[in-house]
Amino acid sequence: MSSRSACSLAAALLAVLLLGPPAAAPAAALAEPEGRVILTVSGKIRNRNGGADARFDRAMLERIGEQDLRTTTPWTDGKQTFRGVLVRDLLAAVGAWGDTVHAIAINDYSYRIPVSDFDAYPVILASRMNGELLRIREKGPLWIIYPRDEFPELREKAVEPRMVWQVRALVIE
Amino acid sequence: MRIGRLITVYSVLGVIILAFSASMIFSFNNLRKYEQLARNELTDTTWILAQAEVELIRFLYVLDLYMYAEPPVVSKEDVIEHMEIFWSRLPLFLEGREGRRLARIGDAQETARRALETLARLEPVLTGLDRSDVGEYQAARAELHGLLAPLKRTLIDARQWQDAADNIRTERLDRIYAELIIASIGILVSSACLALMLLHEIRLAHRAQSAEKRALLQLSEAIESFSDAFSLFDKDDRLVMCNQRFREMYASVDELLKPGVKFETLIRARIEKGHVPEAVGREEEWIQMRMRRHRNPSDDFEILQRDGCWFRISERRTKDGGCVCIWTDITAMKQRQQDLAEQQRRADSANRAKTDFLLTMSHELRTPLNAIMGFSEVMKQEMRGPLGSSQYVEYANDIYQSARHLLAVINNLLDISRIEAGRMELDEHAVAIGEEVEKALRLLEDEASAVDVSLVRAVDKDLPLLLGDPHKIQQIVINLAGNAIRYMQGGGRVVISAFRDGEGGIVLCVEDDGQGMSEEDVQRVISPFVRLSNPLVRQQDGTGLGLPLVKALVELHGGKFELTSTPGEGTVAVAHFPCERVLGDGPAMAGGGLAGPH
Repeated sequence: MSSRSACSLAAALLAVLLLGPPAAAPAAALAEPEGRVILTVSGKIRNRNGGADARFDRAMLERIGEQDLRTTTPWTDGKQTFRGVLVRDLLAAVGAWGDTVHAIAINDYSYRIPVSDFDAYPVILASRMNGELLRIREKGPLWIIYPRDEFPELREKAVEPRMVWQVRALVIE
Repeated sequence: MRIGRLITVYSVLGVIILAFSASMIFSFNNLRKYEQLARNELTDTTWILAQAEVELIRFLYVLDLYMYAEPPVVSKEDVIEHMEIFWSRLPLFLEGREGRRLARIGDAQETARRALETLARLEPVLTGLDRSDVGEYQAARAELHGLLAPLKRTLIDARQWQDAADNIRTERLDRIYAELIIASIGILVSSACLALMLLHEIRLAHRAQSAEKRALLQLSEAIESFSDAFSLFDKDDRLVMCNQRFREMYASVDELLKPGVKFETLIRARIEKGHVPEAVGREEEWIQMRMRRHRNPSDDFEILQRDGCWFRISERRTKDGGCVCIWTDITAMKQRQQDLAEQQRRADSANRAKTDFLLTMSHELRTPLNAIMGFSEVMKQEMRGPLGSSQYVEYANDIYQSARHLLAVINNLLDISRIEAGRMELDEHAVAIGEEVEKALRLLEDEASAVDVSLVRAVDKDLPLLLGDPHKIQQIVINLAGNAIRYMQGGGRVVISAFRDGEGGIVLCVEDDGQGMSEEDVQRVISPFVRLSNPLVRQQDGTGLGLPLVKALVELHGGKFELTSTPGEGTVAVAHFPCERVLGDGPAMAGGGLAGPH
């Protein structure tokens, strides 16, 4: 972890905060991933670190800032405590400017999610459940978790397919 | 009655509509639930099972590629990743929503548990697997391949279970649709009934309203056509309506005469303009009196207007506390009343003059008559020596008889005049009727036998005493029996009876079998100074005062006199003496009672 990458991330965030819409923000370079890449963001983004993509290892995601989300899911029993980065923070970090996030899973399952979901709700890209890192067999490494318990409207059937698990890439469209 | 029935019908209809609506809402809710259920089950469960199978096949495929592809195209990490992916599908059989659902389908969960066990067992083998470990690979692959068949079986079971559930659901959905249709028809029919009834009600109300309007119009026309002045005030004493006649009466305060004006305001305005003479000088007092009468109307009262017209004011309270006032013009009636009073006064005065004249005249006539009677009696009895010729004696007798008759006439006239003038008083004693009758008949015996009339006495032996004037009672008997004798032609009989009537009074009755009279004549003979125009009786002497005098005498005793007659059969004269005049119940003793007869 270099101080240079921290600075550039801070600069990118500052640019977003000060200059308003991401469209107006100048492109900024992201830090290079040092560990294994677990997420690739591509498409309509301004900040990249490897050609056309923004690649993240676990540490980079953790640096964006993680938070807990305690909720039920249709596929688990009882309430679970998930932890991960807020999708809206992640989108800000890559300078995303599209309307739709196309989430792609390891097994190539994919689903298109409107960006407005992430603006309206604190949706996270969970990497931990009950403190433990999510392995692939536990629907990791990244799982899009909606705060279903907090917002009853998110218990709608239509929201379920957006909770994509085993996410490996996001394409901003 | 009708209102009650209507409320019942509307309530029933309302309840029906509510019940159908509730059923509809319930059905819609069920519909939604079943539809959602169908969507969930069809998609999720089969999707999860199919995905597990697909991931297992992909895992096997990647494993095979790893072992045999030349040159190698997949790494061991790929193999592990696919194992992980397949692994991640298995907990879905056991937990969460689909886990709960799959618990009911065949041995889906058992299959998943076995697969998890197998994976856990094979994990170290696969992690350490090398392309040269063909034996281990084959053993592992065979075991993994063995998972496919149960998975397939589970998918088919789920499919069948789904179909059965679908059938049940379809039946239920059909039932719900039928319920919805029935409820819709029910609501439609009830609403139509309700609408029709409301329409009918509106028409009825409209009809009633126009009938009411018509009735009101008729009423106001009728009130307008009154010759009397009519006005109606409400419970706050404000004018509601009045007719043209009333407006004419209040023409001088026309500007006030609008609906809503207070009664007192109208009265004050009229009094201030001096329309009521009797209120002049004491206006406030009069208004107070008028308002008192208006507030508690009882009898009608009369009022004189400045223009000389009299009105009778009739005020009545209505049920709702209002007041109806009717002013009737009674000027003409008042005028007639005054005229009549004047005539009556004049007639009374003339009658008094006549009576006074008769009284005076009677006295004046009686004095010389006493001399004529006295001297003619002396002469016919030849008290002072013979008259010389027997004819003189006869003449003297004629003079005496004529004078006596004249005296009787004058006495009757005097009596009637006295009675009319109110100067006749009874000299009351306890009278034994039988004795007085006997005395009276003794005086008539000669006259009766002369015309061959027999006098029959039929006085009740047990008759009690009567409080009366014995002379007057004698006079009554003499007049009645005398009349009967006088009007008999060619003999007959006169029955004089006395008895008690049903009410405790005493009845004195004189009955003859003479020629009788017509009803008209009966009325005439009771009136003073009238004699029958019958030529047969005109030859008889009489003053025509007998019966009126009898009537007056009986009435002086507080009794009643009746005369009934049938032409050709006879006449009955009846004097009723009231029970108040009857003294005790014992039989009258001759000369007994309070005092003997004079």
